[in-house]
Amino acid sequence: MSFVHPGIAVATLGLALLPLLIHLINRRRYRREPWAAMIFLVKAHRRSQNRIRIDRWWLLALRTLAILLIGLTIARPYMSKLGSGRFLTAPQYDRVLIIDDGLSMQARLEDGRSAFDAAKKAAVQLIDKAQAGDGLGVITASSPPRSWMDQPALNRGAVHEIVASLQCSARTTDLAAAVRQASEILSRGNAVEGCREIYVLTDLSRASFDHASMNIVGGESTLNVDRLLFINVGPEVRTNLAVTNLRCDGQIIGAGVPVRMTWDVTNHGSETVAGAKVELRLGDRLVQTVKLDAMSPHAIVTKTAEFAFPRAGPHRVTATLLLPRPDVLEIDNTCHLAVQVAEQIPVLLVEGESGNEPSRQSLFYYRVALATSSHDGVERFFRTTTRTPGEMESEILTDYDVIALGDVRRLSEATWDRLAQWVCEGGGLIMFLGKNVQQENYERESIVGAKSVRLMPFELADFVRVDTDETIRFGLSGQSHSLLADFVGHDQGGLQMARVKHYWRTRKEPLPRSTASRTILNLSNSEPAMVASRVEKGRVLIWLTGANMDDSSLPAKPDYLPLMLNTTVFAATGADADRNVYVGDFLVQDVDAADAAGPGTVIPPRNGAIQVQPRSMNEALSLTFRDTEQPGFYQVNTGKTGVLFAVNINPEASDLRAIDEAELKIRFGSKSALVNRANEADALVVTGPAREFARVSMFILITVVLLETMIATSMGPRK
Amino acid sequence: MVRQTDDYRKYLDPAVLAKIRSLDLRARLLVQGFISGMHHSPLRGVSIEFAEYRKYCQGDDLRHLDWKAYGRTDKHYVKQYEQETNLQLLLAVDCSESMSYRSASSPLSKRDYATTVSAAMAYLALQQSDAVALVTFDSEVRRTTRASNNPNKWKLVVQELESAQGTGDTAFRSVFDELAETLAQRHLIVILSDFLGEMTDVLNGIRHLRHRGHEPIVLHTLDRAELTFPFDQPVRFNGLEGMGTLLTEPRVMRERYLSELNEFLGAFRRGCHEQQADYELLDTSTPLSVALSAYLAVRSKRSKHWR
Repeated sequence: MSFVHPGIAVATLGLALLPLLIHLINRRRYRREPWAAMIFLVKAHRRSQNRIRIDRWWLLALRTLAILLIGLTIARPYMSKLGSGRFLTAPQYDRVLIIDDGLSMQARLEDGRSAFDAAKKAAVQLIDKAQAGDGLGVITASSPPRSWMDQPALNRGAVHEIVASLQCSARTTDLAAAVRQASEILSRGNAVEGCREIYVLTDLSRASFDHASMNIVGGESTLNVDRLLFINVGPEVRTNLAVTNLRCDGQIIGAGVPVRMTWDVTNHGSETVAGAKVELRLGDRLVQTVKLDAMSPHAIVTKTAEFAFPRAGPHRVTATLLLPRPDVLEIDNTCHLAVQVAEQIPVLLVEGESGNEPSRQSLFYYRVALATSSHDGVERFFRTTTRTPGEMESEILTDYDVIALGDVRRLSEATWDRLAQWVCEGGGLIMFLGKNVQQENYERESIVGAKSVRLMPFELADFVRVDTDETIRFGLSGQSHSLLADFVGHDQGGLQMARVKHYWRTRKEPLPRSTASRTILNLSNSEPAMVASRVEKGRVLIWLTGANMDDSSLPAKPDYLPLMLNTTVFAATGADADRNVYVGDFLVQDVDAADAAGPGTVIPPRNGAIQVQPRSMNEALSLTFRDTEQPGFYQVNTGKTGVLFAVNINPEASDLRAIDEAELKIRFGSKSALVNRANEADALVVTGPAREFARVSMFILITVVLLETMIATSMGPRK
Repeated sequence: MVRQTDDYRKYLDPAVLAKIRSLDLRARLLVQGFISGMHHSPLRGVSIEFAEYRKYCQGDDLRHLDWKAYGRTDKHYVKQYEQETNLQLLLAVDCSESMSYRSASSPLSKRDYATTVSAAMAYLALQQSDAVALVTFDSEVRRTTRASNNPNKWKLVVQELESAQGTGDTAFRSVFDELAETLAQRHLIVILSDFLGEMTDVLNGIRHLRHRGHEPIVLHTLDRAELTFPFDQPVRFNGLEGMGTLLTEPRVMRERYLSELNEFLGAFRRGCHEQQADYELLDTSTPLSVALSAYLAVRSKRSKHWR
């Protein structure tokens, strides 16, 4: 037996001693009276002594019982482990309400309410329908799901308050993780098997079920639930278009240089939409309006526009979808992009082989390629600095966006550690592996903060010298990386004509710790020629051949120049990629300790400036802003430095198509069921007869009081 | 200004009498109050020896009107006669410890009530030239005064009653036996007691008195609380006359106590009647005239009988 108010029950136990105390006190509190007619008194006493004693104990017991019953009635006892209908009550149910508060729940219903409002209303009905003594839990399902209580709570008022306080977010929904959390809450409850239920109030949008965590649900056998009910609170008509993935390719260097902006428009609805157009704005200025052709259901259209940024620095680019008729979800009709237009990219060239003849230097041709952007001897886009490996020891790496290692034999451990730290903070590292490279010196791990970082995402097998009678070239077949997009279809450009003379072969076995790496360019014998990987915020590009004419004939080909420029720009975009994030992601900005004095400020899209204190992370000072619930631009200022971030909704969340019951059962098993109308939800709550003893104990109390009165009266009326 | 006339009847109320400390004054006022409330005086006219005339008053018996005197003087006179001293009154007053009980609601203790009644009776009797004797007793006869019809005797009776302070328990049988054996002449014996003892002893004692030719009048004097048992809260009763203590719940006990008491009273009253003894239950909170009326009723009956 448990109590709704256990504190009162405990207090009642103490109060139950009250009649006994009063009895004992009264035995000590009496008047003294001289008495002459003792002869009659003694006779009367002898005759009624036994009855008095019995009645007195009865009264004492009944009064104690009465106090216990009063306390129990107020404490509201209930039985939790009796099983169905075996005793006075039915078993206690534990119910967890999963309320989908993801982006798709902002969709408008036919009556003007949002789907989230409908979910809250249905949740209130479900809470009201629950019997006293039932445990209730609440989980919000936007990623990452949040459980509002550790175990099923009995206080319905508190659950009501939680539901009333919920706000819809712009994040994606992770229903799989939410169901897993609900199952864990139920495992901590008191309900017996057959009485554990999960109610999921959602619009059933497909993206809510396609989260990576769906794999951890692991089927119904691992879920601690007897009934998993999905209640559809979403709109019936789900017309929705979204503009997503606004981007510009590569690093933008220099003002006035034409750049190409690209974005996607997706029709997630089931109807063809005509007459839509997209406005592209730079700040508040309308740059271009692009009309869209009629879009069939589920079609994706990619549009581009070219324009030049007027100056270097941060820029706000917005693509807004204008529709002839509003769709159900308006928040995804705008996409934001924060663009950092750089004046120059500082590049550090580390020459592994510095011969007297410039053309013998390992990075000679690469340096020449970067110098083509110079005008009248003035470096325009790339500012190059050449150092030997020894000189690199004393170089300040943070002065550069890109570092290129040209067939460097070896670096000291300290230099590798500094290099790893720099890459983790957003630097772009390009390594050309020639014949001088010492394999074991490159295949090492550095400790950055508490993490182990490996810059080479694979292990080298051996250095291959290609025989003269053998021809190995670079191959583009099947390559789809944007870095090489310009070269696909241009067979005469030279990339695929160049012969490879030396290259490093890699081991096929995967590394113990996989790193996010991808082969961008292959050799004709299917060996990798260029591999790109992300290391924290930075990028690492590894050429498995050198950059000199001794290694391949590529420097002599026309494609060499754009390929090297693209490679360098691609490596430099590592830090900028983190400036365009999704709702719910953290905004992290490194802070120069010398520059920043005091807290930094963050200016979100709607509210005023918010002060944020930088904190030390991994021995470096950084500012982290977590409240990115609103899509839009966030200006982060630390000291003299200002950085622009763009926060967008996850494009997956715009897909409002609902999954059906069959798919639900595949994902969650046979215990799951689908209810398509929110107002039917409360009718589905399993209810039994009253499980509380309050009413029963009230009846017993009245009986006890009547008995007490009868016995007290029979013992003699008051004079 | 209207002058308030004195009404002696107020002195019949024990509460009023209790405010008067002096026993003789208390007795006189009681008798005055008693007499002023009567419609005809039973005090005169029962004798055959003429004493004097007095003016006719409303309420006087017309049989005693002297018509000759009326013829001579045209005024109404009543003939008064000298009474005969043919009645011996013995007042036997219980002065044991139990008689000292007085409840919170009673103005007089049982002993005070009994002594007041005794003094008033003695006064009344002496006024009628009856001989009055007094005996106080508890476990034995304590004080006795010789019977006399001398009006000065009353002072002696009052002094004896005032000084009567019994402490022990009561032995009715031995006391009554002693009285029966020592009294030479027939007496009207008024016994004032609570009779809290063995009922058979009391009745046997009365039988002995009757056997010797005495006329016992039993004035059973009890406190109001003893008759109603008006307690609610737990009480520790300390028994007088060495009856021990008892802690009890009065509410529970009341019914049985009253049952025991009433059973006793009924049996005692029947026993007295069987012995041809007059019985009157006196509640110390009721007017004292009841006791005096009982005495006079008996006296009147006996006077006719003995004449």
